[in-house]
Amino acid sequence: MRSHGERAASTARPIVRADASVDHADAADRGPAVYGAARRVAAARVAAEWLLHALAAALLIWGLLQSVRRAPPVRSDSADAGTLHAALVRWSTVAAPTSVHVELDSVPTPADRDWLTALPGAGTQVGWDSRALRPLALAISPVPDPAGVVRLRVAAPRGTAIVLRDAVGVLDTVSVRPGGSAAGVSITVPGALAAVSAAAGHTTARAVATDSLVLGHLLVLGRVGWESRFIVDALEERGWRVDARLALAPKTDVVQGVVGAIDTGRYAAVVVADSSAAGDATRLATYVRSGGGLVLAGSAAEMRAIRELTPGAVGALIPPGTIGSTDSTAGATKHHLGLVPIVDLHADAVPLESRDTVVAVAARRVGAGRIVQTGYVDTWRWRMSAARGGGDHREWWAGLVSAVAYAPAVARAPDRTSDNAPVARLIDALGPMTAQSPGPRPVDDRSRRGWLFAAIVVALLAEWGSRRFRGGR
Amino acid sequence: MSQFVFATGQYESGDWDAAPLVPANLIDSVARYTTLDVAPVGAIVPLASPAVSDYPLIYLTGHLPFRLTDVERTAVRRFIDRGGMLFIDDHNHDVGGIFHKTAIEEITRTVGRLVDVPTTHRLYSCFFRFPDGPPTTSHELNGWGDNLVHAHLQAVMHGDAIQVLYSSKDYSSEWGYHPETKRFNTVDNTKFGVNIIVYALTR
Repeated sequence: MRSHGERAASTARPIVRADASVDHADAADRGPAVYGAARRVAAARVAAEWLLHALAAALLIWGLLQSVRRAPPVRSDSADAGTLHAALVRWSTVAAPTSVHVELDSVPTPADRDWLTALPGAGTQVGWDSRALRPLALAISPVPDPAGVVRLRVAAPRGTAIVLRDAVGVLDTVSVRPGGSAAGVSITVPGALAAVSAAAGHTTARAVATDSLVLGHLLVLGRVGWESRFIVDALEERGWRVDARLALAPKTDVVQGVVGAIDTGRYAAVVVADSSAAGDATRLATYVRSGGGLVLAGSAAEMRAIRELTPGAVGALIPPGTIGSTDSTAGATKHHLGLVPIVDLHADAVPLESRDTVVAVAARRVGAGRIVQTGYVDTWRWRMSAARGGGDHREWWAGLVSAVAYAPAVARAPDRTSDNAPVARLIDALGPMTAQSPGPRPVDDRSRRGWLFAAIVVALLAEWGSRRFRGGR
Repeated sequence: MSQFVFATGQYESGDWDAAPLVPANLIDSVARYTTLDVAPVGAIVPLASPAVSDYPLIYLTGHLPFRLTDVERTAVRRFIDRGGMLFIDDHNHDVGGIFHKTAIEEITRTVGRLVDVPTTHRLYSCFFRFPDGPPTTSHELNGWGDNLVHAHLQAVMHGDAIQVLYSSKDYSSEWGYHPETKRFNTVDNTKFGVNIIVYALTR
């Protein structure tokens, strides 16, 4: 230690640095001003050392607390289709995982799907995956037919076998042709079906008819004869209310029902059995353009006023095959009937039936309506000689009429149980499939502990170094 | 469109060909009063033949016992089921006669029970109007046969539609003359025959 006199003598020297390394004795030697500054620096240095010490202690205490505290709720969970509902209850009431992953081997119920969709709103990220689900869509729509026929359309990957059911049991089994151009199947099913399901593997789609149709009357025009009579019979047996006006003699028609104005307000469709209705041809053309349906049989397509509306022209008669007299055991089919082929098809006409190389039935849209033209002659012979009775003839005529009939739809109340495209809805609700949970990755505890240790060491070393350099212990 | 062909049914028992002039007479009347495309010559079709399906209206008559074989019975049932119609006329005009008794029995056995056709039925108004029901025949008025005027025809009905029309009035005698003779009649008595054909074509 220097004496007080030595400190006073040194005050005349200029101060070249005022850092913490300046010794108190030196400062005292350099004079009172230098000594004051040195003391302040030294005090700050000591305070910094205490701060570093305290920081190290605090980090140690925090690390200790972290090690003994309960694990945070940041975690992932998973479920499969069988355990999904119970898992949803658990995730919503017991624990709230950060992310969940669901492996689905069947389609969840709409309620469970909606529940899953709602989980992200509560802070849980949802991922899903499936190797069993197949894209499948089912649509059900009513056909204008009093027998309550509905058309079922199913879309699925090619080669998929699909089982169609209603509440009673299996309706049909269909398969999408592997090499077909369309990835779907369309069938018609008689009977007013409220709900239909389609199952392909573990995927089940359910559709409910959402519309009902208002069916008007039918009008049959033609000459009195077996053809017109059996057309009326077939359509009445099907359930249609049929009005008819059949020419019998000059100025004498046989009328059934009340034949009113030919418009869509009364008639769903008009069937013209032959060309005797030429006097109505202009009205028929107007009727079709306004949305009505028209079925032209045989020579009916030759009526001048509607010739430009028909799907095609009438060709030369192909005589009937042998029907009845030699073929009755097996039963005749419509392929044994005489045929006036439909030739020179209009560009927008669609052939519906062919026999060999000629078109037997064709259809065309005209304005808001549709026309079907059939070339079969004397279809009543088919009914009279068919092995199965009149069923085929009746269904065929009903099919022609329903293909063109005007039938405004009346919407029913929406059915919330319908799930007609379950996989598509799942993707729409949850997003595309994910291989693993999309939730945030949990913090790596090892990394955190390393940083904590490093911070404590640095703080302690700094404090220790400072203290030792200033001569402290 | 094919022509309308008037067909006479041929059955194995009895005299199915007892009224050979009736078809020509009715064909003449149909051609005379309507624009129907009618074949100028009728056809004869065995009931057991599959060809019955080519003729949805078949006329049957006779004097003798009317019995159908099993094959004929099956064919008739099938014919009726598909929409065909039989018109059977008792050529004896005798409800106590053998044709009537056997025919009623056979029809009931094969197709169903016969009931009276009401005079308001469309059969009596579909072309010519017969407000009093079936027209009487000269045999009824002259006391032949059972000496009765039959007020009604009988039929096996399906709803309102006639499947088998049965007559005890002996129209087979009434219409059994050459068509050329018709010009000497004050009233054409075959008009009801035209109604039967028109009804079968429009029922």
